[in-house]
Amino acid sequence: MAVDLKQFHQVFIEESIEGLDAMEAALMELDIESIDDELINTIFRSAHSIKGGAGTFGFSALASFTHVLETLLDEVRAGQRDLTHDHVNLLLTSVDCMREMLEIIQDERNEYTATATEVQKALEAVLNAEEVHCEQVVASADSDAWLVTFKPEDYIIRTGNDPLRLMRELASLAQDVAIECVGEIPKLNALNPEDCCLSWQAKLTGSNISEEAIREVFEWVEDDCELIVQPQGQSGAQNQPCTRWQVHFAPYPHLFQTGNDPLRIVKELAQIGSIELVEINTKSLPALKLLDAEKCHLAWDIEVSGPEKKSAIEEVFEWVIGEGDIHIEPMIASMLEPQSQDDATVQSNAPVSIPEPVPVPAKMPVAEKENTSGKAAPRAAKKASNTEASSIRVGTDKIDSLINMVGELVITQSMLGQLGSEFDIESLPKLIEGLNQLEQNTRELQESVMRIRMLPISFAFSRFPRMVRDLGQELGKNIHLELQGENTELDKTVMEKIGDPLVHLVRNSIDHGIEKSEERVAAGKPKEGTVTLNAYHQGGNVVIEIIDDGRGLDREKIVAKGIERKLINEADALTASDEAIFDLIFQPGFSTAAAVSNLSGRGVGMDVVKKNIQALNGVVEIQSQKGKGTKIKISLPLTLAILDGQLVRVRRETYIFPLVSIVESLQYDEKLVNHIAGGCRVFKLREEYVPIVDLSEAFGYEKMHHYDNALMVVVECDGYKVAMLVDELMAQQQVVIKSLEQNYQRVEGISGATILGDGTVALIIDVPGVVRLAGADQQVIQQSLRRSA
Amino acid sequence: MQAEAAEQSSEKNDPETSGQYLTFIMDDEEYGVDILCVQEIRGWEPTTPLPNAPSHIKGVINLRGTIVPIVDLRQCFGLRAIEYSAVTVVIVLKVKTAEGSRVMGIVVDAVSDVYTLAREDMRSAPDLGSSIDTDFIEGLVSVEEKMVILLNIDKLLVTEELPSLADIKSALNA
Repeated sequence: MAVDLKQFHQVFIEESIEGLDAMEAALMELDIESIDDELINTIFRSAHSIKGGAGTFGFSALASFTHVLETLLDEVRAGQRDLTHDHVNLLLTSVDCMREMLEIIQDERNEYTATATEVQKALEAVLNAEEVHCEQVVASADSDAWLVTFKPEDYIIRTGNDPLRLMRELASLAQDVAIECVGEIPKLNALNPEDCCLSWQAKLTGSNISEEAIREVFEWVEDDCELIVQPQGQSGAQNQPCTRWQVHFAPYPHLFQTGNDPLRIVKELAQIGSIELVEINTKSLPALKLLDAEKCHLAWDIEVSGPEKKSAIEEVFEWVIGEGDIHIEPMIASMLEPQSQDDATVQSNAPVSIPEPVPVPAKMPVAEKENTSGKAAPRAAKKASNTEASSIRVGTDKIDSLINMVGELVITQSMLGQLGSEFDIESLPKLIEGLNQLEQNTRELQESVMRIRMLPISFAFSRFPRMVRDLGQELGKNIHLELQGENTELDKTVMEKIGDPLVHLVRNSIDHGIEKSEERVAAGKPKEGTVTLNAYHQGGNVVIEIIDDGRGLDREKIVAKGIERKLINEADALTASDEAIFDLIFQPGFSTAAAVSNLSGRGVGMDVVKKNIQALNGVVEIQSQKGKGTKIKISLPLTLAILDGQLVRVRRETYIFPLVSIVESLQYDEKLVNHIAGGCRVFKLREEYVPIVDLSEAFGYEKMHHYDNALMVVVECDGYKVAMLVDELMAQQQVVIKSLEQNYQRVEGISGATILGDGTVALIIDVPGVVRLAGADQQVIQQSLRRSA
Repeated sequence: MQAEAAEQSSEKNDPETSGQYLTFIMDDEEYGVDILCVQEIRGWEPTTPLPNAPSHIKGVINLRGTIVPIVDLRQCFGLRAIEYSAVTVVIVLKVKTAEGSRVMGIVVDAVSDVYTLAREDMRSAPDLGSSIDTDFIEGLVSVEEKMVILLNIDKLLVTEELPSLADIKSALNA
């Protein structure tokens, strides 16, 4: 029995999160007018399995919360309740609540959050308010004692169901349960071990068990059994939770030899309740002469008050169960609850006429509410640390293909090995062939390993339907979200980091882009605004587009603001391309919004978006047409572990530029170089002046004296172009990024290292870092450029 | 006799009271590092220099797929730099830091010996006043009339400003 359930907690949490996602998705799809049964079932199933899991692992707070939710869903499912818009909202909030609770569970705590308590109350209010509606469900009225007869069909075991599990689940509902196994077992020669010939009768006692709850236990076997659930009147005495127990404990003489100490048991009993009376029964104590000091001759009668459950007492005696006679009986003193018997009989005999006024699960949260509000604060602080627990689910096909590749690699290896052991010059072509094969194997293997980290982008997109809906409601805009290319695969790390920028961009589209319905109609557009998220592969990149059909970017406004903030001069503004103008909105603090809303408009954000995307070696560009809409296009590398690089030589060392940052490369031409104030040189690249950074100088080598043979790599940095002087352009190749920080420290101007084909290390250039290093910071250069102009 | 010897050796092997040290030579001085920190010893090979790094950081090498920085201990102790030759040795060490451990290589003149040294034979580093930090010296010990300086690499290789041993030497001689 000592299975450590903790090892399954992570799995439970992950599955529950997936369940919640499914619930949310289904809720979003739900059409109030015509409810799709399948969707409701999906929602219900998710809730049900979360509840089941939470119960199994003892997360009672989550379990009881989900229970209320499930009750509501069940009524909807059974068609007893009409789903309204408010209900859907409430259900969505509950999903959020459950997410929060799961996070708490991840911190290994089991408690309610403040919101959960509120939401649960709201759910209960919904359930109660329309209780009248559900008179046909009166059977759900709670009784405190039930007789459950469960007679499975004989093939039940073959359907994968385990009656024992059902019984256990049933037992977990009740405070006290007596299960009797009935049924006719056929003669041994007629017995088919795969058939179930038994049936069970269970007497459940405990407060607040609803018939539904009992039926739910048998939900999976509904069609495969005969199930009778009857409320029981006779057990009225045990109606109220009994708090006084009579325990008779008569150990066998060899108790001491098993290492048990009756005194310890009594002490433990005292811990779970208060001991009213301990009587020692010395009847079997032999005469002194015959007394064996190593044997136990005593028996005890103990009266305990306090514990509500028999099982609590049983637990104390767990270790001595086989070592003596133990009887635990509730004390049915009539003076304790004189009326309870009548009450119970009335209730259970006439469940039809009494719609139970107070459904019960409310009890617990209310009691716990006080201490949760106090605990909410530390949890918020702790939250951040745990959210990134990372694991990855990989399809078996991916693993299989990996195994295939490895198999081929092994074959190639043995082929080469054999070739090497008896090598002569004649087999050279064979060797070359083998090496080619090895190369191919390696590449394939690399690709499949990369594919393991690839997840469909729907993981990042899935949060948007909900967000768009909420924002639309908040802003009073009618918005339709369209998702395309959800199956486009993207590296997990990239996916994690692109989420926030995407959220920001979508918010911007909704807040600034899409107009209010009246405006839209006036402009001759459909009333409903559309935001499209599109993802696709292009070359080695993943492109994500955020398209809205809103009012578009206002070039004039941006130019005016740009001139005001001295980011651009008027002459340039007239000639500059749309792209260049729109790029201005990525400047820190740039906002044309007249009023700051709580969503956006503060001008913080777009610069952060751009920075985040650039940190992923990605590029972002904007296309927009006034009145028609805006399209923001993000291209990202497929993975962070591999980079397309341009190898360059600076003096005797090889450095690598990320290929995405390179605009063009050209020969250095002294005639086109101007020296401007501050010792900075600029190069006239067609219409632009581009500052020159001498890499060898920036990296602390001797300064170059003549640049006749030098080449310039023009790169883009923070929206500006910078020309970097290098000695030689070498190959372009994919390089695997290795960390320098792991064993050393951050090096300014260097983003990482890689290992080249010959085994030497080459450093990867961090373009913005080098620009900073060379003191060619944009502000400085722009200023001096303007001065010289 | 035998029992006594066994007792002695077992005493020597007890990590509480003694430890094994790998010693190396630099400028005719012998230094020791805890042998458990040593990952491997390899010959000098050209490194990839890091831009704008201090002169004692010789660069990085590829050690079976990981990037490992190489520190010239001579320069870092303020000793005269020498040409690297075929016998110049790099000792690859595992240094414990607050964040975990990192792998670094140190360039030394030659590897000398492995000694088992008893803690009680070690003398603590002389206090040279506040101007010179001697934290990275675990102790001094005499082996066959020679002095061996035992280095605490965990402290030595994390110090931002690497110490100049020339200062320490002159202070010791004074």
